Amino acid sequence: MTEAKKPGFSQYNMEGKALEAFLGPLEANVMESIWGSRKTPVTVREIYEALKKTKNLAYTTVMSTMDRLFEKNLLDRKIEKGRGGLYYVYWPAFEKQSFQKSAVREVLSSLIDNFGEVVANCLVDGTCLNEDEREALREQLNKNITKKK
Amino acid sequence: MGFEGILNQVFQPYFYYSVMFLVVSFVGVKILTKYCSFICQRTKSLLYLVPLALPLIVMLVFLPLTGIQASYRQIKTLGTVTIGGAFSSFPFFGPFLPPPPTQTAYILAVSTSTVLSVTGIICIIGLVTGALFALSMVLADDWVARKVLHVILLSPNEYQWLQAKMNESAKKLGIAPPKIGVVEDLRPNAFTIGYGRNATIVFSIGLFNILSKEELVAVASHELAHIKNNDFFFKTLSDALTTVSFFNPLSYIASSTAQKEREMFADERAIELLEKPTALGDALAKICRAIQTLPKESVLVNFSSNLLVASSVLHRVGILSTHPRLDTRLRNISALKPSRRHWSHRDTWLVFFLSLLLIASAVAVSLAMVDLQVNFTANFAASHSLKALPADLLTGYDTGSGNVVWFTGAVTVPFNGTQNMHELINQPYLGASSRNIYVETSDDGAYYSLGDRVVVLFVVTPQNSTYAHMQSPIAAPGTPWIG
Repeated sequence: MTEAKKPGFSQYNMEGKALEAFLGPLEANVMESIWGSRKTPVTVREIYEALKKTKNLAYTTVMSTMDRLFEKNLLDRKIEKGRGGLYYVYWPAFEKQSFQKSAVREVLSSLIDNFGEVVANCLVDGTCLNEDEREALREQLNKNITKKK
Repeated sequence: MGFEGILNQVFQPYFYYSVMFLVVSFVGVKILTKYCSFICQRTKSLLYLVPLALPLIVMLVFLPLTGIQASYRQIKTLGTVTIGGAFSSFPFFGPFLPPPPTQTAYILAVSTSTVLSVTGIICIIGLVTGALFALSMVLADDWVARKVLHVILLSPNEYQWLQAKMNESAKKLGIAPPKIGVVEDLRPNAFTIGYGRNATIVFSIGLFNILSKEELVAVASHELAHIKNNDFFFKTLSDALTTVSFFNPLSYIASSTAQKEREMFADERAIELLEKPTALGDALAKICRAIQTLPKESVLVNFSSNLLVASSVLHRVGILSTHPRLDTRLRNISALKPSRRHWSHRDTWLVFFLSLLLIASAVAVSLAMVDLQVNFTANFAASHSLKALPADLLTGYDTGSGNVVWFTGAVTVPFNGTQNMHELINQPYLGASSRNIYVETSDDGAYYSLGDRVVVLFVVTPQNSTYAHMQSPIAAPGTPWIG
């Protein structure tokens, strides 16, 4: 797993739960399925068969979803020779926690870039600190945000 | 097993005739199809099945024939025969041989001496395996192919345009719309599994990656043509007949030639369905180019795919390929004329009569060859002014080798009671062997003691004939005969 790569996602879905905040519903399902799979790397067929148990899905939909996840750098793939001929096998480019951390950092970074002090205030307001501690934290955050800019 | 033993095995009727008929008829069909340009692909493919079917017919003819022959050549006791002008009586099986077997045991011995020879057993293995193969293909091919090749059936909302086109083409061909499946294989490929209403046309993902919509429809039409042509059964029959003659390399070539013709026939039918007939040629050219850039699949994968699927766009290369060369195929597609496309009554009759002729020839030659030894013996005896006994009069059973012997003559040899039998038979008569006569003596040759003489029964047989295993000394011309 390489950490040098950055996962590619361009939207944040306010209504999406967990991974669906960063990815489409099927993309999130595929990623969850791959992270949860005992066997890696996996083929499209294996993920399709795993997802088919709970959802009415088409194979080609899963195939194009995995292809898209590869283009977004969330999955890596290579060609493997096997019983069925030559086929792609996929594996996650990031561990789940690593992806989540990276995604949250991306979103925060974007918010800070755009809204700076407002973000710092929001973060401080959301903590359980007393007033003095909040003020100290706010100062520290604003300093860091200004430095970053 | 010495050289003689190997010859014995090679010339066992089951083996020898099954190989010979396949070779001769294959060459015949090859010449016929090469020089008779009016014969269409379908007729050609059917004609190539005839050489493959002949070994099966030979086996089916010889199996009962050995039993019938044994029944015909009944064990007889000579009773009274003339020896040197005087009458003498002796039992057929003399004191030096075990008592004659019963008629049933004799028939069994005759049958097993050919059926249970090494080559006979090889033929039986081919026969049984071929039958089992055909049965398993018909009963379980669809299931096995899906399990082994991991075919995923498409839902009605996937590739709707392709499904609509295929349904339309199936309607034109008068067949039930097949199911459509995909395999993950990145090599461009399409094949058909199953038959009739249960047929499934399978496309590889690699095919979707390189072909345009028009070209995909062309490949689909080619596969639909295979269903219409009942190529599942053709391939199953062809492969099963090849399995029957698995020991004969020519059977694989005959089978692949038949299947190549079938491919061309499917191409012909496919372009009738296409709005743009050149799309099929374009698709084939793209597939061939793409295959060259991809890693080759393992031999096992290639073999199992070829075994399981009725038709695959991918193919083995060379003489054993089930598909014609691309240039041949493209030439055929572009050269199609309406008059060549349709199967006519003339073709039906042609296939019928040619097949009948070849099969009848095979049966006739089989029967004739079985009796060749007997006629040869009679001719030899006549040409040497010898008098041979009727072939079916004297029959023997060599307990040493298990071979059945039809004695065709007898000669008396002076015997003082102390001589070594082997030397006695060899010394005076071995010198009589000539190039075209197979002579061998053995300790358990058939002889009968008559006090100061022994009567030696013998067989005259063409050298290296199928009956070369019948061992007996030959008498020199002018030797007194029993008759």
